[in-house]
Amino acid sequence: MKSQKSSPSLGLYKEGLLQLRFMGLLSGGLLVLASVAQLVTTLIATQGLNKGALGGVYSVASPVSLVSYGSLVVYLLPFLFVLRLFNFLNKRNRSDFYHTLPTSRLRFCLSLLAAVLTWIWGIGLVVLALAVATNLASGASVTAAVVATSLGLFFTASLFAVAATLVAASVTGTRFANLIVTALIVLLPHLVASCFVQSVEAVAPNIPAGYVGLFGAAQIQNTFFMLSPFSMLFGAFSMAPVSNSASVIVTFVWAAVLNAAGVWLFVRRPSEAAGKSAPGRWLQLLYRVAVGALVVALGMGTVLGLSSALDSGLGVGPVAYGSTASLSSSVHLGSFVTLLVIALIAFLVFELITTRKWARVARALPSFALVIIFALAFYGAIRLYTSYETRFKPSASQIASVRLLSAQYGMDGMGEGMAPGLLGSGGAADYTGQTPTYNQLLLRQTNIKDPAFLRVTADKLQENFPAEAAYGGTDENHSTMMIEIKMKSGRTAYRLIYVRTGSRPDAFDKTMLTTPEVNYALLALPPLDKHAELSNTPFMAGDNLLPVSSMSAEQSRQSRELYTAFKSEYEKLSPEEQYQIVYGYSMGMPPTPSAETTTVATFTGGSNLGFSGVLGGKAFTNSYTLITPQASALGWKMTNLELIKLLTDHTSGLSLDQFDLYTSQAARALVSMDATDSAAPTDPSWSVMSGRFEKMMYGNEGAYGENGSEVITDDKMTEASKIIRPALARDFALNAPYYAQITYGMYDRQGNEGNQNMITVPLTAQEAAALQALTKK
Amino acid sequence: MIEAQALTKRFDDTVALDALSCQIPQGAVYGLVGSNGAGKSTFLRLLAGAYRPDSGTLTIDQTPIYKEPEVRADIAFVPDDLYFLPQSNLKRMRKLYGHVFRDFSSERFTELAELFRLDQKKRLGTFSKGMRRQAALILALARRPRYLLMDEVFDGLDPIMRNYVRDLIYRDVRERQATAVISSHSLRELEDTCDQLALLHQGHLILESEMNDLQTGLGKLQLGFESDPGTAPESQLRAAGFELVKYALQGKVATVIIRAPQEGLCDKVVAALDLKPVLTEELPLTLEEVFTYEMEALGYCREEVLPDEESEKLPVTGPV
Repeated sequence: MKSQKSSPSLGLYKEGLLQLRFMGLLSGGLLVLASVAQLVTTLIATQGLNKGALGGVYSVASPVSLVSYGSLVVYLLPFLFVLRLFNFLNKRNRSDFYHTLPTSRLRFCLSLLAAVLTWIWGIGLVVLALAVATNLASGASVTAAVVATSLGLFFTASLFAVAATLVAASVTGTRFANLIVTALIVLLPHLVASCFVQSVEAVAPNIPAGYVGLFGAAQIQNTFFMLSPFSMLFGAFSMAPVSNSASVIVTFVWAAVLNAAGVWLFVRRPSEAAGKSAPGRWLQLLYRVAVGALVVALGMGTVLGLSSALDSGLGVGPVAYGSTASLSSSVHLGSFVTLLVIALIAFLVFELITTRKWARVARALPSFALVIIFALAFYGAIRLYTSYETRFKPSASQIASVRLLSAQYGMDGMGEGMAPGLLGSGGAADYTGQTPTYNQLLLRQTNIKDPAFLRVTADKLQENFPAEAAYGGTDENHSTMMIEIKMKSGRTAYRLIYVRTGSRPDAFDKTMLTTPEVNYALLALPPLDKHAELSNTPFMAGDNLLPVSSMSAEQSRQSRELYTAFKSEYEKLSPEEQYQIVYGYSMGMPPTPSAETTTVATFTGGSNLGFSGVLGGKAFTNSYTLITPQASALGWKMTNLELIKLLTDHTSGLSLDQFDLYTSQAARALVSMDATDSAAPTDPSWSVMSGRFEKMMYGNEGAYGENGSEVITDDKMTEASKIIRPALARDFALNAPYYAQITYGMYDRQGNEGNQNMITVPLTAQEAAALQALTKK
Repeated sequence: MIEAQALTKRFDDTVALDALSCQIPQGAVYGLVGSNGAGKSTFLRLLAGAYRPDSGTLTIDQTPIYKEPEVRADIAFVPDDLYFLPQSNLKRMRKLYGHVFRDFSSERFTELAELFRLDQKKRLGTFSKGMRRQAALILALARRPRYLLMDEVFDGLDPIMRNYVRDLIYRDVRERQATAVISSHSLRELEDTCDQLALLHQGHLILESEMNDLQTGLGKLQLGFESDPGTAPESQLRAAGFELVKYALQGKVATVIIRAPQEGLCDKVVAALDLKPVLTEELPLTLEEVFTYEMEALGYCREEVLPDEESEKLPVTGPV
């Protein structure tokens, strides 16, 4: 009997599904159609490209982006469906009908709830499956972990939205009150927390966004807001590195508690509450005070921010670490009173709309005192908290370890003194949707305990922090970094620090770059573990065109072999050489091999290898230029083997565009590797191009003679490809008499070139002569 | 049996039912009458299990109705303000009832729908008031309830349909020992339909009686005189201490309603009169008379309810 009272009733469940049928089919149909359209568009976009040449992974789908249209399911359907199905609570006759059903209220509520969730999750799963298909079609990597996380985000966010609406429907009795209370339940905790953070930041800008006190758990977000298109509006928290799994767990617990509360309130709700904005006076009081409190919380950050800005000369002059002494004087009474007046208007308007009685509005007036009390308490809490945080100035001996979380502020103007490995690491990468590198993640996870570093950190915490630095106002010789300080006492604090870099780095910058833990994190190569996905991007075209892809098992094996060879050579290099390989491109200095060692990369520039993986539950991607001797030779060979395959396959779309033949001397001079021959000519001794390529490059007018290339027929180009094919199959000869630089492209069926690439191939004298003979008159 | 003990229900500051106690035996057709706001609908909603009593108890066969939802499987409630799903027709409503009421009989539903000649596919929103009430009755009766609660059941029904509905209620009562609790402002209908009656006023039960023998505090007599007696009998009766609530004279026949027990009233009246009537007869009170004069005694009369000037504008009517 007991279980029958609490288990959902099949009949009621079916009735719930039926009542949502129209809405479910309409909204679900539209969302599924939109998802299908996205999938079809992606398929059409990728249709013209050669799959084998596409390469494998070049991006990792993020769980949040994977939810895609699922976020619309979260943002629309729970509110629509719950309010539709529980709408009977707003009308007396409907309410009476449902309250007289021979079913326990608990059973009744659970049955309807099950119907709502069936529709939402049904639609969501279909939409999610289509999003996975779309990502796969576009060539992105969709791992099981990403799918599981996406499901977790979607389920918990939708469950939270359903729960919030259920609670609102259970404690209100009109449509307007339904909506307002739903919004309050969903937004109030998040907004009050955000406003608290914003207010604290206004007073103490050295406390990073998302790391304020109790809200330091901002790494854990409500998944509802993680999927929000408005997260930028609400989310000071969004700057923090968010833990998906922790967020899923916390949101689930929160949603479960809200659901339990919603069901409990539904069970206790009297039928006669229908048509009233609140079933009781206390709840009505609570709603209007919440509305007033929300206005106060929203405005407090602005009031404090304005005061703080005025104090610091409109944000120009530096403010000492949390100068709370000036706080009380700086809070302009006028703006505070204005805020309260606005809150009072919202408070009274809410009462008038929900009760539609002027008498009730007048009677509600005294309870505005509660809003004033909230405002004072909120202000007091901000002041207390900032005062507590600004007293945090530890000595080195008190610090257990320090982590470098990010250098997300003012990074554009970073000088050479700041390691580029710190760029965008931490929250910024998550926030902007960019996937961080392995080294950024590793650095973020590294607890630095080096005594010298702890000393400079302690010194740095004593310094002043310019308010504008928190918002990117640094110059080319300064940078703002976010650090985590773990104290021996167990306390953990987060701070923004202002670091001088460039030609005159401060002690912190100098010490940081000589700290072994930092150096290790900046230069380490990721392990080739089970999460590792290798891909190759051509060294010139920048897009996937040829080479070593991880599409097939064989190619995957080859990629791993290539990476292993590269890693083994890399580990034998000096830190300076490693540094150039890892950061050469990002520093605007393309890596070049040392002049003493001639490698394949000397001629080719080295091919690229992409590495995607997971570290600590976070996806990362790195791209390496293979300039070490063995790896570059191996990469070159693999590229050539792929090239031969595509040349043989006439349907591949590969076409040779241009041949430039260099003598050994000219080729060496071209890559400036032989200093003694610096005066040697660098022009090709023979150059031809296809008519199609000429037209594409120079238009209809042609360019014959202008660039020294002769246009040859397609037949001759085919002959040329036959001549160089044996050369492609050979190992790279560093002392060949001739080198051919071959430009090739991938063409679709309409003859449009998709990508272009270039490769250098050593030739024998006979092969060079055969090529030149092709254009002899 | 339905039993209410000190049943109280409040809505904010309003006491809708105040310590009401009554018993409704199985198989009765129980009528509820009362002034506007007397608590009739509230009592029916409490009986249906829609409301939770603030205090007191309300049971069916000693099982509390609100706390034990299973009891409600035996109760069908047709409220004054009917509920149908938006945009629905009878077919859709049958589906809803089939989903939520275990004992709903589709056969009975079809049978009744055919009897009432209602189009099952037509939107209920397009039905007339009476047809909507018929639809609600069909749905309620198709559940074959042991307790049938109906608020303003005859509202909107034409006389033929009223008789028809009455017959259906009787049939359920007779064949299945069902109990019907009916509230209506149409006292004539209740008089013809119910076998028991309760009069409510301001949340209190004023009167509960068998319909055949209304046990009120009123007596009605018809007195025939040899000649027109004028107002002499009225003044003589008042002088003798009788509380006359109505004295009406038509020619030689006077009809008097006196607030006193009916038993032995005739002899006492004759003894008090100087001019002896040649004919005396005890008459039964109509329900309307009971309602009017009992309510008047409670201060619920036109003069009390309406402002003086409004009251004066209205024509003087009343049961005789």
